[in-house]
Amino acid sequence: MTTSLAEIQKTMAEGLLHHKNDGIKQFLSDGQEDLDARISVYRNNVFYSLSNALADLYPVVQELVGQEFFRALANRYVRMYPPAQAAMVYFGEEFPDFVEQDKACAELLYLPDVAKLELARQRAYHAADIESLTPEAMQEVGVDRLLQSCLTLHPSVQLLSSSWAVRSIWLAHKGDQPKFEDIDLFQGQQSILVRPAYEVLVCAVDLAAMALFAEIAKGAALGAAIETAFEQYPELDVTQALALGFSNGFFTDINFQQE
Amino acid sequence: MNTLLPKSAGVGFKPKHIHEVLSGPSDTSWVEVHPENYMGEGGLPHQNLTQVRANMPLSMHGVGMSLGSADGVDQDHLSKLVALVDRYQPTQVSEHLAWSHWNQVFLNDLLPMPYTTESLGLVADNVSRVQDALQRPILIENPSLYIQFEGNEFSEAAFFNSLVDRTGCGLLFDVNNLYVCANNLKFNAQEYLDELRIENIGEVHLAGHSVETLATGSELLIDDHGSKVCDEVWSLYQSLVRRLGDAIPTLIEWDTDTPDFSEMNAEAKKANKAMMSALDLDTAA
Repeated sequence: MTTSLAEIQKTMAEGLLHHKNDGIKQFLSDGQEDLDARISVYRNNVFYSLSNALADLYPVVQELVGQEFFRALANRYVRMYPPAQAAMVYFGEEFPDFVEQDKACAELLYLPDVAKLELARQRAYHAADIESLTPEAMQEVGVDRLLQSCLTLHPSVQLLSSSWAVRSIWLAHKGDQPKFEDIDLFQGQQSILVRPAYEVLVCAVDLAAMALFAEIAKGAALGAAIETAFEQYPELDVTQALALGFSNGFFTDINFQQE
Repeated sequence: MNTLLPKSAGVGFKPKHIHEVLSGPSDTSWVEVHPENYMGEGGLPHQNLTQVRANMPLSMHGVGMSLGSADGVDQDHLSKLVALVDRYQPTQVSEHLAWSHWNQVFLNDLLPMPYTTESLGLVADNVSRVQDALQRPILIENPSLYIQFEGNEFSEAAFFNSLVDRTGCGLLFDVNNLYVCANNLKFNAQEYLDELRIENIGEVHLAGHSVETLATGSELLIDDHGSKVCDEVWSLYQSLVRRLGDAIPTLIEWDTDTPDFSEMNAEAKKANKAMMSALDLDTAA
């Protein structure tokens, strides 16, 4: 009586992920030496390739914690959230939440938000290609008519609010300014990521503009979005916020309301 | 087997080589990509692939279809592949004899399976499903193996011969994988080639491997695609070409510590020369 393929694959998948070789060995032919070492080749491939994929997605997290720590963290992540599909583009989505829960990372309070920034960058990088409206489109329509419209955000747009200086931390580890030791880590930062062409832009925005773009992202008409943002942030500079949006390619369409 | 790709050397495409690949001419006449790397919606990967495709023949070599999975081919993954093949119209599409997912868990490695009647039926069904969706035959690659299952009912060569009969697929023959398996599982590579119906081969792969010495002192070859093709694999390749009696599309794979394009291209040039000299054709011209 031979074992079914389903049984073999179930045992192998679990055995490789959770370091159990005995179940796998029962399917293998006698007379092969060094079975543990042979099975390890497959296990190493699984963990090595997946932790590499995670390191490609989260290079700044890796730099912040060091390569050795990151490998161990990645291995724990792989066991808890193994990928559900073959395209690595979609692997690692739960990593920011995982980092937040991971006890070994507890002292690095800003680490989950750095991971969120890197995940937002990945999503923007692979988002659909749609041409953005230019600042000229804003001028043509004029601010008054724009207020009567609903703006469509580019599919790559990602909003990230953090109570940490995550954008500065991220930039510092890309080798850009500022230097890490000069950053006030407790200075919260709002960032909007967008990829109007092939490069992901990471734009700095203030709290008021962030509130406005968050409303637009929910699908609110511009007039209503401004009203909501104003209630919380009377200092909101609408023209400046819209100019920033149009000059960085945040929008793909202007829909005028019927009323 | 009617080969579709140029009967000369190609290389595995790496984004960092984009300028050299587009600037041609070189000894590389086609490139191969893993479609999984292009399953995002947009951005630079698609821009690169569009330019490459406009410049030379393209082969799509999947690593994630998991044709050996007992729980079948993933419909979402297949749909993504169909969309890519429709968009880029690659000259050739290929996959592996392996499994990677079980119960919605994808392990990102090409895992082995026993060669039984059950496996053959299952892989044949999965291959047929992919070929029906793509509306074209695909090539299936022989694995590199580190373990051997009890209860094999077929040799690997016989398994492939039957798979071709059942599905009309072709073979992508990886010479390095044969060399690695022959060493790791202690069989004779020439006897394997005697049994395999090599006329079904539509493409050949060449790559490097590393050597690990085990506790018992024996050597395990690891198919890591991380170095030049070794002398023994070159001579096995030449013996295959002699058996085929014709030139064959041949890919240089180098996925770990990938060198500059010039070094990849030097391997491609070596493959072209090895192919011609095996066929006793003059390469001086």
